[in-house]
Amino acid sequence: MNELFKLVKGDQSRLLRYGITYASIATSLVWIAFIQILRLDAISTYFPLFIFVDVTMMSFLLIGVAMMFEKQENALKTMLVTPINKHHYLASKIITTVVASLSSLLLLGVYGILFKGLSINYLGITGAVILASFVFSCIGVLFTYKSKDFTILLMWVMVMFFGFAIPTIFQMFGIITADWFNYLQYMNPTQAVYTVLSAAVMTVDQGELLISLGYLLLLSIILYYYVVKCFDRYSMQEFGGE
Amino acid sequence: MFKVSDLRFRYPKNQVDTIKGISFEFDKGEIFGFLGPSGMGKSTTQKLMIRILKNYQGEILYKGKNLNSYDKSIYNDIGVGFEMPVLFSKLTAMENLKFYRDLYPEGVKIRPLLERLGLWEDRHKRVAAFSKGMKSRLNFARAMINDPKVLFLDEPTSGLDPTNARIVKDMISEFRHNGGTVFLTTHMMHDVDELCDRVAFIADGQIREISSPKDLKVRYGKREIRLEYNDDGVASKQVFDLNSIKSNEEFFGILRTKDIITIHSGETTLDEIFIKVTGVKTHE
Repeated sequence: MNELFKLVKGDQSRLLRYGITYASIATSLVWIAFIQILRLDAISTYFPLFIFVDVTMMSFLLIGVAMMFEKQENALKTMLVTPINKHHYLASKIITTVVASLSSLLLLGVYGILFKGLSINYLGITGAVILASFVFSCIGVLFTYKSKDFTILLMWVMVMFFGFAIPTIFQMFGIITADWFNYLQYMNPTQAVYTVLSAAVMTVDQGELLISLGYLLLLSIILYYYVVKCFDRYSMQEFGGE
Repeated sequence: MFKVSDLRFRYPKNQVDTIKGISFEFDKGEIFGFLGPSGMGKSTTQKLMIRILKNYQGEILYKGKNLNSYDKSIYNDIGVGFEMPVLFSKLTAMENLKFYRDLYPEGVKIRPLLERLGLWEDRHKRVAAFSKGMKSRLNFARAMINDPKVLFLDEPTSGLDPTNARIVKDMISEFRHNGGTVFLTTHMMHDVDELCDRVAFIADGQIREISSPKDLKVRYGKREIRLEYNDDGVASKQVFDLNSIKSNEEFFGILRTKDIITIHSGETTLDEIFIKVTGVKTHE
């Protein structure tokens, strides 16, 4: 645990140095400015949307950018010849991203509660953010290992945004209502994230909530399994092993 | 310390083995030079010995135990200095070293290490602002940070001016004198000559020669003495057989009666041995 704590501390300080933490805070502030400009009073309906973008796309982007910097500096090479455990190394990256998502939640939540009278299930939203951020951090790691540079990583972010986040936003605003689309959305992890986040601020169908929770938990396990496999392959490649 | 027996390794996408059954060993307190042209298996052997590459055939023993039987704690014993500096460029030298030192149960004091390497004054500078030589020295400090028992060094003096190269070489020698073991990979034959107790030459995945630098120089050199002297205003040269030198009156006559310009033994250089043994020039 001590080793994991040291790794998380190191990752946090590097996120600060790379300016990634500031970018994350700035995104939350943009949302707050957005709420102010649009003079949204009852933000309960929109709150899951604000958090949704942060825990999905921002988690993906945050971990991606952080790991891409590390990739460019060949830092993994040195990490591999230290006594640290690979699960600790990967967990540290994911925990750092989850903490960033929780910080955004804190910022937006405190603003919502103090200035907009937001009523929220604290435990529920915290759990939902941790789970969702974990899933999208894993997706971020997988796509970072697939990306040769920042350009390709950003391309994957766009693919994720238009392929997964936008359909959920369309469904949220009732832009697409076809049954086939709703069924298809059960496969979309961002839809599952939106459902679990919504459950913390409004009433949602219990069946849908359970399906979404189960889906995200299952995804967490499967994705983490592949993250470890990808890490092993990538480590070999770093040393010219493949 | 390390014993490598009939080691074979093939990269997954290759058709042929990169390492073709090599065997060697080196003891505690020894500096073992591992030399060879680029792409001939030098780095691969090192990667196998530091457990970065797996799935090899043959056996690698560390302290008499199979390398595969160790867990990650083996890295508490090992310090690795990569050829290219691998440091966090946005962090300062101090932050880099503190981060890495904290990953080990034990480590050295950072101040004496940085002072010795002439980096203490720059400890709060970001690594991105460091020159190539400073990065190279910090890279060496990174390899030493866990107070290792075995050092794997790849071109440790690369990019260093003669003064700093001297400091690094002195530190390597001191490390050995204090009981440390060094596996040194380099193209700098002068460093090898100065530091290594024994060297192995690898080419095309096979070890072509193992011995001490002195023995190699004698074996690959000619048993002769070349004299250049002033013979009544004319520069003359003559070669004498070293095996019969003690009874060679002509040789001693020249020494007594002529002005000697140069005397050279036929001992060769490691550069020449490298070319001869591997078939490739050292700058490749």
